[in-house]
Order: sequence, then C-alpha cells, then structure tokens
Amino acid sequence: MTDTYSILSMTEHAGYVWPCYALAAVLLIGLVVSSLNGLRKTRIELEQAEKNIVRTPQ
Amino acid sequence: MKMLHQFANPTRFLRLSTRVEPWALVVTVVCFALGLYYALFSSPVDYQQGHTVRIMYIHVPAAWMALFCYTAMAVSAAVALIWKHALADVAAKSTAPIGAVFTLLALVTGSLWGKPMWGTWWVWDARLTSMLVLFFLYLGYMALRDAFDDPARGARASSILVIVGFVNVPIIKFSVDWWNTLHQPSSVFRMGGPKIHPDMLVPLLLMAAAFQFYYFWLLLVRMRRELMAQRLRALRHRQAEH
Amino acid sequence: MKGLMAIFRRELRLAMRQSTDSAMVVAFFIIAVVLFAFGVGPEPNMLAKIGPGVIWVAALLAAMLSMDRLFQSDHDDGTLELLVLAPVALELTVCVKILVHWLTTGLPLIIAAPLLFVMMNVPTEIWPVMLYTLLLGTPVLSLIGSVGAALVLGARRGGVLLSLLVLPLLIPVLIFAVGAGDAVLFGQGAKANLLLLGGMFLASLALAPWATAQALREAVA
Repeated sequence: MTDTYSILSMTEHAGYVWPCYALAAVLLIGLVVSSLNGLRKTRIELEQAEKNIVRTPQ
Repeated sequence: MKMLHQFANPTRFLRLSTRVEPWALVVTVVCFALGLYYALFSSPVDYQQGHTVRIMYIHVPAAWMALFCYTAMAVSAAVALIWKHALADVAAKSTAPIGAVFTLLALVTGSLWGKPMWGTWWVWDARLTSMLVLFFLYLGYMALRDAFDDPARGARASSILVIVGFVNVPIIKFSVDWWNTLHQPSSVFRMGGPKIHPDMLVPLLLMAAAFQFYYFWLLLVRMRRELMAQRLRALRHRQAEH
Repeated sequence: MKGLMAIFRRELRLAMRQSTDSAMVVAFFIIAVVLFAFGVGPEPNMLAKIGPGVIWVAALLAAMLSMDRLFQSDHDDGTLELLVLAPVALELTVCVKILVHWLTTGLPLIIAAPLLFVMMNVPTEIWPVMLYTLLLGTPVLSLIGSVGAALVLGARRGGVLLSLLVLPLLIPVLIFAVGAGDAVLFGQGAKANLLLLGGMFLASLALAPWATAQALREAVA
C-alpha cells in the first residue's frame, strides 16, 4: 500500500488529480444542495397553497 | 406491462420512494467512502502515468453515467410519449440535469487528464468530442423543455427531441471516431490509457457503483420535487379560476 | 394524390412569391465564406486547405437560417390545423414542404457554390465531389432541420433554439461531406463518403417526416 505521504505530494501530477476530485465534489454536492433546496421551497409553497384552499371553501 | 402502469399513479410512487430513498442514500455514501479510499489511497501508481491515473476513477464513471442518463431519458421519454405515462416524463425531466452534470464532469476531468499527457487542455480525442456533443444534446433538451409557456407542450416536444437525439448518438459516435482517426495527430497517446490493472478495477467499479446509486437517489429526490411542483401548479390553476 | 399536388402547388406558389428569401440565404452563404477569407487572410493555399470546410459550415448555417419559418407562418395563421386535419397523410404534406424548402434554399446554395470554390481557391479536381456532397447533404439539412422547426413551434426564441437543437445532429453530415473532399485530395477517392452521405439522406428521408409530423401534431393539439 503506498504510504499516505506520497499520496498527498503525488509528485508533479498533484496539480491535476486534486482539482478533479475537488470539481467532482463541487458539482455533485452542488447538485444535491440545489435539489434539496428546491424540494424544501416547493414543499413550503405547497403547504401554503393547501392552507389557502381550506380558508376559501368553494 | 401491468407493473409499468402500477407505478403510474404518483401517490403509490411517493409512498414507495420515501421508503427506498434513505437506503439509496446509505448505499451511495458507503460506495463513495470505499471508492474514494481505494481510488486515492490503496490503488497502485501507474508506471507510465503516475498518479494521474487516479483521474480515471472520476472520469470513466462520469462518462458511463453521462451515457446511461441519456439512455434513461430516451427510454422514459418514449414510455411517456407512447403510453402517456406522466411519471416517466417526470423521470426524464429529473434525469436531464443529473446527466448534464455527469457529462460536464467527464469533459473537465478528461481535459485535466489530457493536460499532463499531451500538454494541452483540450484534445479532439474521439471520446471527448462525442462527450461534448452529448453535452449539447442535454442542453438542447433542457432548453426546449422550458421554452414553452405550457409545460405539457414543452414535455412532449422535448420527449420527441430526446428520442431523435438518441437515434443519432451512435451515428455521431461513429462519425467522430472516423473523423478523429482520419486527422489523428501522430504523437497522440491513446486516451484508453493503461490496460485496466486488476487493482485498479476495484476502485473503478466502486466509484461507478457510487455514481449509479447517487443518480438513483437524486432522481427520486428530484422526482418528488417535480410531482409537488406539478400539484402546486394545479392548485394555483384551480384557485385562479375561482 | 390530387390533394398532395394541390398542397405542392400552393407551397411552390408561396415560395415563388417570396423568392427574395432564397436570394437572402445565398447572400448570407457568400458573406459567411467571405468573412472567413477576411479572417484567415488571402494566402491561397491556406484558403485551399480550409475551403471545403468553410463552405460546408456556411451552407449549414445558411440552411438553419431559413428553417424556422418552415411551419411558422402556417402555425400563426391556423393553416397548420387544416394541414393536420387534411385527408392527405401529414407525413406526405411534410415531405412536400421539406422538398419546397430544399428547392428554395438547398438548390440555390448548390448553384452558388462554384463561385465560392473559385474564391476559396478550392482545387478543381475536388469540385465535382464537393458538388455531389452538397447535392446529397443539403436535403439532410432540410429533413433534420424540419424536425427542429416543428419542435420549436410556439417556443420563445424559436430561431436560436432551433440551431441549438439541430446542429449537433448534423455533425455527421458535415464530417463526411468535408471528408469526401480530403479523400479525393489524398487520392483515396470519395466513394465511401458519398455512400455514407447517401445512407444518411435515405435514413433521414424515411424517419424525419414521421418525427416532424408527430411534432406538428403535438404543436397543434
């Protein structure tokens, strides 16, 4: 198993490997955050809309 | 076929998805943890590429997922169009952004992998070029989807587009491969990289599984949101009428 | 069949009445190629090297230019509903409209192409091949373009959207058309390219009208 020291330094290629993993994290987590955020916002609006329905019976 | 219609009604889907989602999330996190550990710490360094081979553990699964999502979109769009299956259409709409993100990730990691190999950020390698075209197909789908005031019209139009696009993907792939081999600059080191060394297969498959479950989990989340949004639109519409 | 001929005559008459449209398309085609010459410089063998590619890209863009008006006028004044409900099969009506569109845009481009071969110093031995590729390729532009035109009916910013949707699908045509020119220059002969272009033409001739008709039904529904 290669020791962790050489992983962190990764010789001259570190500049390319770490950005890849960082970008993957940013993109994937960003998508999750925006999806969950959208979900929360829509749920709140839906609850409000349903409340309004109750207040103004047809 | 009965199973297909069984899932058509949203409430049963919502009940099922709330049960499945936590499990999908747990499996995703576990796969990512294992995959990243193997990818970064315990897989061998490639004799030729050194550590840059670790980029493969992100690039290749992302490329696989980019194609998988487009196929999933085409299939669900076909189901939505042919059997007027509303839930399949919601699945197609929810898959598009995820697929686009995977394609973008594959493109950028591909160019980051190309830089140490050939010294240039962008290489007109056949696979990277086809991935670029696939990215445009995703953008086209999403742009067409919300270019209409009436969402149902946008849904049907983009369904036809993704089916037409899907039929063209192999043709584009074939012609880009042919075009690339014709203009093959002599010194290009084949993008295929090293023969997959068994020790490298483990992280690759783990990361692929992680991406797959990530997609599955996020799809459920986005579908739930879309169903809520549709219900909200219906409520507001009805309210507007009174 | 009589109905189809009636539609064909109507479309042809409409097209003839606005014949300036095809003149504009050819003018755009020439200006686009001339711009490349300004951009790249007058150096002959540089122009010769990029000639076929530039001419084909300009032809592609010129065809896209006039594409979104294919169904737009009928959609706006309601004749599209009549066409959909007409006893003639919608797929055939769409074929007729695509044929008329090709006659008013594809054909003029082919007629104007030799002038650009001269300007771009394209080697004369590949002139015939380039004309064949244009002859086989421009109908594919109209066919696949018509699918896009039907899809964007009623969309906001339809023109730009149409190009974003359709241009990626036309990449194979561009690759093999320009490849034919290079194949002749390398001495391999362009038979393979022309056969592939012919295959694409027949495939899109069979599939595109069906997809366009489906898209039109969605637009009208």
